[in-house]
Amino acid sequence: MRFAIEGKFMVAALVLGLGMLLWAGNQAMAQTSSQSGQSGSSASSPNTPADPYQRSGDVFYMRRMGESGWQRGREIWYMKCWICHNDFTREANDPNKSTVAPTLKELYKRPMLMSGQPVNDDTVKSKIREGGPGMPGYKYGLTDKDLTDLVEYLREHCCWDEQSPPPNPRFRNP
Amino acid sequence: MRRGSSRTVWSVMLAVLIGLIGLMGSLDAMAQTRSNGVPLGGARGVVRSAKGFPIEGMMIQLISQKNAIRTTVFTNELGQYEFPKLETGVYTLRTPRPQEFQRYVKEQVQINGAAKLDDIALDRITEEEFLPPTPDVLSQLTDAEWLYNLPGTAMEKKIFNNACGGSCHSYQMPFRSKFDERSWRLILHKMRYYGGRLLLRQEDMAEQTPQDKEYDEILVKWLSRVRGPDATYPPMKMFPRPQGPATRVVITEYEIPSVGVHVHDVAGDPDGNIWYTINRSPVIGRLDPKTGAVKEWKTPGTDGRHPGGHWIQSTKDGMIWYSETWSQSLIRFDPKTEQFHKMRTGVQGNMALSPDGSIWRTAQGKIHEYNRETGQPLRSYELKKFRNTYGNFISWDGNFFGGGVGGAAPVGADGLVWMDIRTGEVREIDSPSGPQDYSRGSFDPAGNIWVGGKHGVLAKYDPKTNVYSEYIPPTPYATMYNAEADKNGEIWAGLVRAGKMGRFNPKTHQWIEYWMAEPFSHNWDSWVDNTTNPVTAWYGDQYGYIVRVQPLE
Repeated sequence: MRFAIEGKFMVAALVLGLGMLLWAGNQAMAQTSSQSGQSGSSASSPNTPADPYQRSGDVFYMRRMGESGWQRGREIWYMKCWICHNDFTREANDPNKSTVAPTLKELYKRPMLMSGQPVNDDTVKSKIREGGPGMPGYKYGLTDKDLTDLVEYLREHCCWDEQSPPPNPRFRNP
Repeated sequence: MRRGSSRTVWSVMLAVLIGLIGLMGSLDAMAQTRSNGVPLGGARGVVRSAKGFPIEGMMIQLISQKNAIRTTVFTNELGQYEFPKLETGVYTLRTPRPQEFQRYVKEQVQINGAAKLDDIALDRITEEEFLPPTPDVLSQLTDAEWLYNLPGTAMEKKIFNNACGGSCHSYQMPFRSKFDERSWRLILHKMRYYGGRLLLRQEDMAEQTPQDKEYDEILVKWLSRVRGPDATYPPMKMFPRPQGPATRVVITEYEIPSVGVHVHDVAGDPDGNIWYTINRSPVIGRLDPKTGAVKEWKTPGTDGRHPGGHWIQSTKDGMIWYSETWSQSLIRFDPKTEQFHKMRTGVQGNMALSPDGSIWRTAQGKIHEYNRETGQPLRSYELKKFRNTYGNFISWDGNFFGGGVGGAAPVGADGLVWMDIRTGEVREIDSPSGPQDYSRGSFDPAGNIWVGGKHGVLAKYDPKTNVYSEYIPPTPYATMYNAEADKNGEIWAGLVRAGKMGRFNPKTHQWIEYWMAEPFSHNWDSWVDNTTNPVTAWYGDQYGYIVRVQPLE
């Protein structure tokens, strides 16, 4: 009987100890593998940024200056076109050389392109797609959506102003 | 009964012992949530895979809705993370570079002190080792990972990295594009043979060597093959996440007022502000790291010259010196009076500010000290071999000048310049490994020169032994533009193509590579704040934001 009582006590003590061990283990495990609910999103899409905060995604989709329209066209211009079609390059080289790209300011107010074609969205897009003797052709690298945004910028807003870059929509001065 | 009591006591002691062992193990595990021993006191949580395994090295970021500051920490081997104590408020919680896992973005997260955040369980995007080349995967690739994954020989990739690794743009630009061979040839010609980052003036093609022509042809053929009209992307393999010491860091990103601008240099002032130049716009700015507040000033321009700055530094009394690079000017700016004093030097790029306030740099075969009122040389020392250095810097005691000689110098091999200002002794040392396109650097407290190379080599010159040593970081295709020694003699260098900041310990020859929260590290100049312990490294990314790197040990 005494042994039985002592045995029960030992068992109880061991259960208590093991219980503490299990509790302690659970505290650690709760940090590593608990399956508590998750309310954040975890999705991705092939055509739109999976995370609107991703800077490299904005660069990838060329949408830092706008998600679409002429604002996005401005970024495409700056990243793809500015490097040749800027005033400073023209001033630094012989503007009569065929390799010096013309300015595209007020392009849509001109009577025609250098090719003699009329100036409209279709002819401008075609020129960008095919390129020219000194100009790469972008038909493999820019989508129709890219070109639509780009010509919208060319039509009404061109060109990049080095003196006054666009405001950063993410910036918040506290 | 006595025997029974004894058994009872022993039983209780045994039980308590078992419990204590378990409790200690638990507390030990919990202690590791405190960034492996460094209590940070901010929000904390756990990241694991959907299968329940802890994920080590996963970035977790909080974006403040008040000031847009982004704070990023990393999980430890138990998947646990902890932020520093942040201002109470509403934040966005996200995984900035989840790599093989799905993204996690949670809005409207209330942060107040050491809040325990919900566990994050991430699904893999595929059970395969290699990732599908979706836009989301491709947009996370570092330039080094792009090169690692695209087909091609070692020679093709290294020639590309040498030619294009100078950090003007990410490799997303070429590798997301597709062109036919004719167009690639035109683009490469423009990129390779028009001067400076703006590519304004065509260089003299007569200086093109037979090897230049051979390498150009290799590049055109390779790009036309891997990014030609019919090119497709292979399944992608990303580099493994950081582990151990590389996870014990806090990365903070600050927004600046404009987009599409290219931050060039950053430097701290005595009040703890960070000053920066914009490389292609007439702006300098001052960031208050405590609040994220920014004030910008429009700098005086020069008619007919593209606006934009390069180098910037503060004197001990808070006077700001910077270079308007495209107009070849040196400007002194007094923040108290907001007055600019512009001086035309006739040289582009960076200068060196000595502890005594004097201004130095090389130009046209000489090392010059410049007059601080006129911008004209005060005294000059002849260089016999090199025409110029790209980087210019002064030792901690003000007694020595140093500079890295890179591809911009139109003669001979690359190398280093060292001068004892007290005696006028000048040494011009060739790079032991040939062209490495060395650029900017610094002296360490012991007087050694450290310079970053755009071909991926970190160089050290010990003037006492006259030994020139070279070190290569672990990540393949990483390049460097700058190397900044801290007060402990460790070297900080932006690993430009790797999306990382490198920390090299010369005593142990060990690197710690801190991952940036974006796959970019277009770092033209690091600035190390030696007033903190551990030191703090800063850089401005050419994609238009400022980054602080705070190691926890």
